[in-house]
Amino acid sequence: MNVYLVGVIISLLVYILVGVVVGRKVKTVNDYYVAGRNAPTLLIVGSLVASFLSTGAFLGDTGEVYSGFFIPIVIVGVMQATGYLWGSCLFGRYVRRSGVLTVPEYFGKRFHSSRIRKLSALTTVVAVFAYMLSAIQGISTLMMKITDLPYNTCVIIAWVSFTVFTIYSGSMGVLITDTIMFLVFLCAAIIAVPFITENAGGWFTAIHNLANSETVPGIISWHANLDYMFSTGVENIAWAVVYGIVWALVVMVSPWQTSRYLMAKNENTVLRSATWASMGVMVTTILLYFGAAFVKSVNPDLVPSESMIWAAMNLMPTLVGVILLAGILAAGVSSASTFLSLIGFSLTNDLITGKSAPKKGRLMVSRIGMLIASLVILALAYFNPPQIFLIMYFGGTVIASSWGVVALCSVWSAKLSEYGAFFGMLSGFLVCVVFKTLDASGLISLPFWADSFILGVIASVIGMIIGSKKKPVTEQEKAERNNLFNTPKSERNVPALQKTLRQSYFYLVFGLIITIVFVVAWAMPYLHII
Amino acid sequence: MEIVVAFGIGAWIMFSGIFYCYFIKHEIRRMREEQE
Repeated sequence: MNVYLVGVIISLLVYILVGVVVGRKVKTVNDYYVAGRNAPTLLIVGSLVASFLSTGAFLGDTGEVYSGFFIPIVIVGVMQATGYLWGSCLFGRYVRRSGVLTVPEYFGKRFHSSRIRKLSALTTVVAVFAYMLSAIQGISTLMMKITDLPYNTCVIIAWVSFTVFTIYSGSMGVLITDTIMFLVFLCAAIIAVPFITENAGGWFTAIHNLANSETVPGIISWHANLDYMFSTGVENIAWAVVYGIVWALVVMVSPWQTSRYLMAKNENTVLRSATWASMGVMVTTILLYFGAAFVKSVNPDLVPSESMIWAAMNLMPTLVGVILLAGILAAGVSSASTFLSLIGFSLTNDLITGKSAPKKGRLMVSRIGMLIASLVILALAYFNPPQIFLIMYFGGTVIASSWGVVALCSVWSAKLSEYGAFFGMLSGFLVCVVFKTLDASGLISLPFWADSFILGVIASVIGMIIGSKKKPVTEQEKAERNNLFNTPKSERNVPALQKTLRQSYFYLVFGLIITIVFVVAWAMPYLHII
Repeated sequence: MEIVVAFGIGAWIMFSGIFYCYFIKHEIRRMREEQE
């Protein structure tokens, strides 16, 4: 039997087993939605990173790097990872403070509005559906490559692998399995990349070969390969900065990231987990991107999105290859489990409210809602072709456009009213979806400076301004915003915050180390060769 | 230009870190004032 398949199946069974064991402890809706609001830093970090990094990062982004787009993807990776710091300070901390079960519930409470709660739940479902499809297709593509099973069979295996424990254990199981999966793919990246480097002839030989690459000229130059996306380096870097902002915003406000903070045991945990998650994402992605570039110098004739799969099966000892494949799979499964739980929570906690909301057996209703959502996703994944990268970008940009400015202003603007927030979110969502769809279908071609995300953000800001002028802030909304700035007595812990501050200095050292790594291990050797 | 990009990447990380430290310092000051 295929050893890679055995490894992958064992890892999947472990996740299911852990999820089912943890699920036995779920007694209340609070346990199911926010894991009893008692999670320590490690679990929050694990879940933040695992739910963010999916097969899109391990297969899609590395495929882009392999195709010659190294530095733009690195810039996006670094910028998105710093979003944790901005997001925890400017949004996540206040969402947790509001004491809600879901992020759409936060919007509803903040603006005393049922319709904004439903709209944010609806945008969550749309974005997460798109994102989840990309995750399930990524897992299936990976399984298909290593098992030779038909794609549709792999879709069903992938679906079973995360649906069982997610439905049963809710956030409690997802937090723990996410953390295990995060550790698996972090270790996979750390262990596997040295083997790829060794096969490429060592670090500096690999840089030398890539700098002189004739198959993909400019692959590791600052401007990247000019035949890949744009014909000038400035445009490529500008694209990277735009998408870096998009993904930083996703990290800052998206429901699959901020909902993790709702489970933190206190606000200090929110702040601390942000720095570790930022470093975790950066280390994992930078290692993978260098690894993917080095795979190019070993074998330039691969299908880009399969370069890491090929590397796992050909450039390292079998056990390490199994770990890498299990890591890639873990990235996909962990994201899919978070997305499924979010869809289920949004459906049962936020979309079905008022008289139709269940008074009894809410836990069971949540589980049934999640099962129905997962069956719809299974059907969509079963009949859809695998287009990982495109679908994933659709999900992220929609949330960044519709939620980004509204979410931040819900905390930091005294002038944003319910009317403004609702129309800001709605216009951002509609404009982004319409232009992204037109662009993706080839009916229009948007320049990078008029990306659907930017158009969506502009529409969102216009909607917020006009809406807030038409119906200004009410006394109730004003009081609710003021409540966000009242630190609860239990959180007034200066020594603990001072400890967080000391930890944050380490992040500055980390930034310095990354700078040195890029100067010494990339820029200087590259310039020396050129 | 590669050197500029390398320093640019590092600068953005450090800038984010400095903002974060400033925010926490600000919160510590605010909490102390509230306690007084």
